[in-house]
Amino acid sequence: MTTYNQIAGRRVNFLSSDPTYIDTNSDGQVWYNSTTATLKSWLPFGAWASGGNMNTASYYLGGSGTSNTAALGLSGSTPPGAISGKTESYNGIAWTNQPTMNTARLVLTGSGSPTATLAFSGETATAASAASESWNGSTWTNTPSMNTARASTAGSGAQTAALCFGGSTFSGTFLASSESYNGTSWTNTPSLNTARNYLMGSSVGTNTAALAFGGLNPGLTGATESYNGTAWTTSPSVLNTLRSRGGGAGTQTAALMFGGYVAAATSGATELWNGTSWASSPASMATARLNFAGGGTQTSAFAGGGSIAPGIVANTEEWNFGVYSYTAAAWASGGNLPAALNGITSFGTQTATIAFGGGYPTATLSYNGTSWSTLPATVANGTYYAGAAGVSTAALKIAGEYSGTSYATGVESWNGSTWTSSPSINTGRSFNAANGTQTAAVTTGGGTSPSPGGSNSTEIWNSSAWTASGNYPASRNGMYSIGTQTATLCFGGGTNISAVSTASNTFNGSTWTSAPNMNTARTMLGGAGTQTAGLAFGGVIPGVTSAAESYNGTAWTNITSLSTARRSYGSSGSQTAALYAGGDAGPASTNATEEWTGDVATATSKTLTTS
Amino acid sequence: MALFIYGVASNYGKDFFTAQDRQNFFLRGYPGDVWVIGATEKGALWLAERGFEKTKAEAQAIVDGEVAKAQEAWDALPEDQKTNLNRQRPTAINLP
Repeated sequence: MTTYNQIAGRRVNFLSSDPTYIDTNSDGQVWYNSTTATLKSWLPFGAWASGGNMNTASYYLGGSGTSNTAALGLSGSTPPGAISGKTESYNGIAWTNQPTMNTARLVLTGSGSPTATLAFSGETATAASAASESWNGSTWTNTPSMNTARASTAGSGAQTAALCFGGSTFSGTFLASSESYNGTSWTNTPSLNTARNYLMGSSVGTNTAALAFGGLNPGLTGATESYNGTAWTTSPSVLNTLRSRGGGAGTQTAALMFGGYVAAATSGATELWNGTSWASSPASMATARLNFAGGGTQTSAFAGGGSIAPGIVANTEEWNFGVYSYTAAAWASGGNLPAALNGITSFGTQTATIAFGGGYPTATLSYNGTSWSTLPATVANGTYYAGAAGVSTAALKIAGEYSGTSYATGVESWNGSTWTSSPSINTGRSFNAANGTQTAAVTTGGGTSPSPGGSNSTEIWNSSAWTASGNYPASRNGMYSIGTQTATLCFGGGTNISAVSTASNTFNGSTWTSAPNMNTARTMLGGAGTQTAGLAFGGVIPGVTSAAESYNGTAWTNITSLSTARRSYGSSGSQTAALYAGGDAGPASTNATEEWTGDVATATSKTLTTS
Repeated sequence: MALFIYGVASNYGKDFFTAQDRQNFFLRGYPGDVWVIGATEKGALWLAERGFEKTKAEAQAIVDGEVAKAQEAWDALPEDQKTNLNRQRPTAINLP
């Protein structure tokens, strides 16, 4: 009998626990888990997971993109039937509105990436469209028109090397013709063997190596054709589920088909093409839909918006093929504070946070990831919207408004169990931003006397004294800052609750430099993370907001909102595990705590059986 | 079909709503323990296990009452406190 060693070139490991998944080279590794008495393996599988909602629910839209973290939604229709030219980009977390297309239309096709897409074909209210336009990540520019006005097409390729095939005229004539774009003009290319519309294509293939599948003519077809730059060849293999109006992704030899229209119903079915035949995946989309934005690759695809017949959705699903299971980022409720507290300040991690101030003048509170407790230690001057720097075992409380009319200079040092007096800052302030460590901190802005609306003064701490440093670029209070003394990110704030800012700036220990603006102007907000991996959430805009956004060192992106809108400095943690506690929730203070957990990818082994 | 259901539920803290709940349905909290929930089967079950469903008008009335109380408290403040740059008179909240 042939042994596994002879087949695989290695023996089955006998392990007490599952090994660590390294990368795709680990795929197919087999081991025996002696603890669970199971034979196991890293076997890639496909699964759909929920993503961020589009800003506008729409259908009959186009899509382009290279993965489920780099996508565009193009034009389409919004209820009650208006044709939209809207553009939204997706980064795997959230959709962001972008400038509108030059030609609003339905059932168009896109090829390329979120920063380099070509959109072509489609249908206006009165005619099929030959319009073609190019997106560079910030603006749309008209490009030469196609030779044939057509709608409900499919495409393959990139912004400057795209192929458009099939579709129909405005009167409903099915088309087999195809055209290729070279960055300058469209050229007619050989026709499909089966004329059809509402078909799908290998979205990230090329204009000389493409795959066409599914569609209508006039009944549903599963016909699959391959293009080699010279001719289309019909495959003997057809889709297992005949359908149209779905999503196509991947290349000529590794494609993905998902969703769409089957006889009198929407479909969530998913099929994979290996260059020869289609195989049905056991994983279906959670929301069966048609006429949505789709694209990506066979291992990383997306589906956004579309029709669920009846109804139009804004939700997104992300396809991943591999050994990882994904849990989308979200806020969840944490343990409630012992009382509704506005004005608290906190520092630490999501599972080890210290809070003080607000409605508790001297109390010190501790959060362990489940519940809050009151510690024996008392802070001498529990302030209101003070600054803080450090971690749960070593930190500083920095200034803050104490009486409501005077501006505190006091600093206290926390060692994990007690507060002790520390040298004061030079300028008394409240609603000041602060970050860093117990031995190397920075504080900036805040209301001061005689500038209650906000100061630009910055002070740094070197473990023995506070000294003045480079002024913040604007005078503000209510900002929030994260990071270290020499790698700080400070954002938001305002001169009062009605004059709020989107600005963010970085600090290198001596000078401030402008950084990209947040999406939502706000003050008195919370934050977490580092200079290049941060979060901003809550605040006043001037009403309280639940909006949250993420920063990657380059840009701010909207993420899932808090459940309860509020303003508070009671925040701590990192970009992937943050905490937001208490605050002013509008008309009254709140005791609610919310915990943010970022996207989690878990390598999942499969148990092998003999059945 | 209505997009939302409305209810009253007291936030008891940890696991009152989970990350999975947030992924399953729309959820937003308002003053007076009012919650607006996506009108889905999972959203309705979440509310049924934690509180009581209200009509939109009933939920809006609860929120309006909380805002009115806060406005009365604001109006009773000394004038010098009302000029605080970091505070404002509570404003009306309209449920979606």
